[in-house]
Amino acid sequence: MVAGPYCGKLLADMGADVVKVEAPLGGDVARRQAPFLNSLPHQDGSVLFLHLNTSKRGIQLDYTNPLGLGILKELVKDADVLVEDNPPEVSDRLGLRYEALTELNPKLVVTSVTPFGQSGPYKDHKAYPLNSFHAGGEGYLTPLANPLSVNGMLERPPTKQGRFVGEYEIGMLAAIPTLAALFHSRAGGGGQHVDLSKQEALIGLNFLEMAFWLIGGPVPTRTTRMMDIGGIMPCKDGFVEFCLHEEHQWKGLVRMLGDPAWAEEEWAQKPATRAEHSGEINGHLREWLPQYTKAEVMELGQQAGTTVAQYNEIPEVVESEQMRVRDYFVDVTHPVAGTRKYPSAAYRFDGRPLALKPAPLLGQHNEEIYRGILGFSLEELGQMRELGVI
Amino acid sequence: MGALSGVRIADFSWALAGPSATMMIASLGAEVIKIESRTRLDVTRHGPTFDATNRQKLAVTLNMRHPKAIELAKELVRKSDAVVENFRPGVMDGFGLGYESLREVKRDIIMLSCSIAGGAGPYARYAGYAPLFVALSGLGQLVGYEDGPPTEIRIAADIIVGMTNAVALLGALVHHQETGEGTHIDISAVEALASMGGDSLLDYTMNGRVQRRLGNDDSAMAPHNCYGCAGEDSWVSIAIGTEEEWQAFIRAIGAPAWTADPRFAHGLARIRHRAELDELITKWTGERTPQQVMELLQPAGVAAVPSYKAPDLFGNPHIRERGVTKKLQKGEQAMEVVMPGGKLSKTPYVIDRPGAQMGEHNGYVLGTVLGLSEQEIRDLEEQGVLE
Repeated sequence: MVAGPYCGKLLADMGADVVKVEAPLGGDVARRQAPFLNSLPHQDGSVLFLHLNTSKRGIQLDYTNPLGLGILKELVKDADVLVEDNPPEVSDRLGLRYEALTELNPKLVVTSVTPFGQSGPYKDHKAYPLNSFHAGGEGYLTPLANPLSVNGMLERPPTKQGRFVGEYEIGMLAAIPTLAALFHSRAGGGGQHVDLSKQEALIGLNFLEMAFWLIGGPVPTRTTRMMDIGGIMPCKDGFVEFCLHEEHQWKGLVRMLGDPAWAEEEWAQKPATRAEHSGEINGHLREWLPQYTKAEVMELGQQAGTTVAQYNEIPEVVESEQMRVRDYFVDVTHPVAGTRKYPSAAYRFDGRPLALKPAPLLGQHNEEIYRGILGFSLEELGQMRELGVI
Repeated sequence: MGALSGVRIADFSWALAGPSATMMIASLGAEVIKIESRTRLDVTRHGPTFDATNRQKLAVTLNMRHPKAIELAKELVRKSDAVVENFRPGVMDGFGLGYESLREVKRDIIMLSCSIAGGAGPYARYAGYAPLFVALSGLGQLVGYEDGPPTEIRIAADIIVGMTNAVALLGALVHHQETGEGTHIDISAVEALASMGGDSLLDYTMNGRVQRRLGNDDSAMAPHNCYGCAGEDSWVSIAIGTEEEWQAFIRAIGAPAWTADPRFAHGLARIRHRAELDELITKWTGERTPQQVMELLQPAGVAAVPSYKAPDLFGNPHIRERGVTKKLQKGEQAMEVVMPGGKLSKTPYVIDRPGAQMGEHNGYVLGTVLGLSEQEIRDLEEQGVLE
């Protein structure tokens, strides 16, 4: 639902020609997802759809219809990559199997994004993004406990992250083997199938968490991974995060606190003994913090040489000097949604922010592709439309 | 034989965000040469995470303070397709290995530089680790309970940045394959994390709406949560998105009287009364294990999946059949490592080399790749170039 389109978005925003294939009536289900621009439900007003489908061309096609499937196969003949997220039994039923498509185009890379992969006892299990996030094991470890919240924490359910953090992660993890397979195909190696199980993608993402357990460590839970000194702490107007790993950062923390007497104690001189006194150290920090805003803490702390940062709210991120200097938010003009600032990407190629194009209107590129690439006549287009194929 | 066979990467990166990216690239078949120095150790070098993050890579030692080492680094770059580094901005320039210098050595080189802020803006001068970047990115505000503080994301955050690096690097490799052009990619860790909340950012720029953490809530679905099961800290996720699924759910749990309550009659009502709904569902799940709940609900077409903890994650029949770990031999020791997601049918991920010892491949890199004689290599050792 989100991961597959996000994978396509990553490729499209980097300049690939990505054609989004949508059901003729209503299009992608994301078009009906709130929130909407100005809270007005409209098939071109879904914030999620507008975000996930930047830079793509869009056609309508009902490939569950044999005529439509035939058209899809025509399109696939000239394509490098097909990304699809149908449940395996649907792909099977429709004849959208990689084996069938590779006969039409031996160079084709097919990436299938499904909750549990193309094989195995759970392959036909249903999973929404919530379920996939918990299927991958990261759900169980979220939210991470901290001294502010640890009491009674395990009585509350583990959660997903944000709205679609897991799905975006999976989309990236689908793009990686897809791009590698594309590279291989273009090097003369021919196409292949990328079987992307969302569950396995997230397990892979958390390889380090699991590495500790696999070498005989304790079962990771929300409370086994708390930071001893620092972590998240409240201050005058919000929260800050202290994350210390090196000696000079500890010295910076002491400097920030004004070189208090307790920092001269024997136990404060070595990391091992400090860890035993983490409760006391955190107590001192919590006494000091309420006098300062998060911006002040960050400035004072970083100046003194310790590693601390403020928890920005979304408006602070959007309006930050940092994002402005980097042009992370770029103007995109959409025929219905107008001109708005969209988040681009974390990467710049040769210093230039990615030039995002707007998401397509439903069927916006029907003519361009059906007539331009497949050579359909106007009559044929009309017939297809009447039959509900496009 | 991997998808990226024939590609060589000169990997100057350290810690987690860079190395996790190059580990993916190496697992896809590229030859990744990790450049280290005993004079400045990678923080992870002697820890338990080193093997997991640096498997598949070759290891060479170059003392970057020695001018001869810089020359060798440049020679290595000449023989490479891409360079990856995640030092603070200015460090590579300071070595004489900035992008412009490397372009003189190889016109079409791809260079990826990852740092907290991508080298520009007020954050560029800050020091920190992934949890700080999460705080700055706004992502921490989107995770946790509605009535709780923002949440820290730790190890996973570094890997999110790493995967972002890998996507960009692969994009550049494909572009180079097509056009012969190299590029300098600069990546901001803060932006990589902010991008994980992209639609939430867009909701603010479009509608001025500030999204925040909502636990497991969804604006359009109820039930949509994790429900307590039998056993300690044991949970199952259940999400119901259609009236059809709701009816199937009711039948599957034996249609208890409360399911006929008008408070739960349709979607909007269930969302409004989700707190009560969740309590009632918990009475049912509380008597069963997460696995039992899944086995009862999935055949009815209801999305129910355990919130897997490590032993059940790796021990369940589906994962056992699919296989997500591989055994690696490191000397006397056998270790199990987690495989990256994605089964490629023709060029599967390669997982056959544990993390290398420091300088383990000096002979190969300096001798075979750079063509130095054994005597030349011994001389370099004596001069401290290979520290």
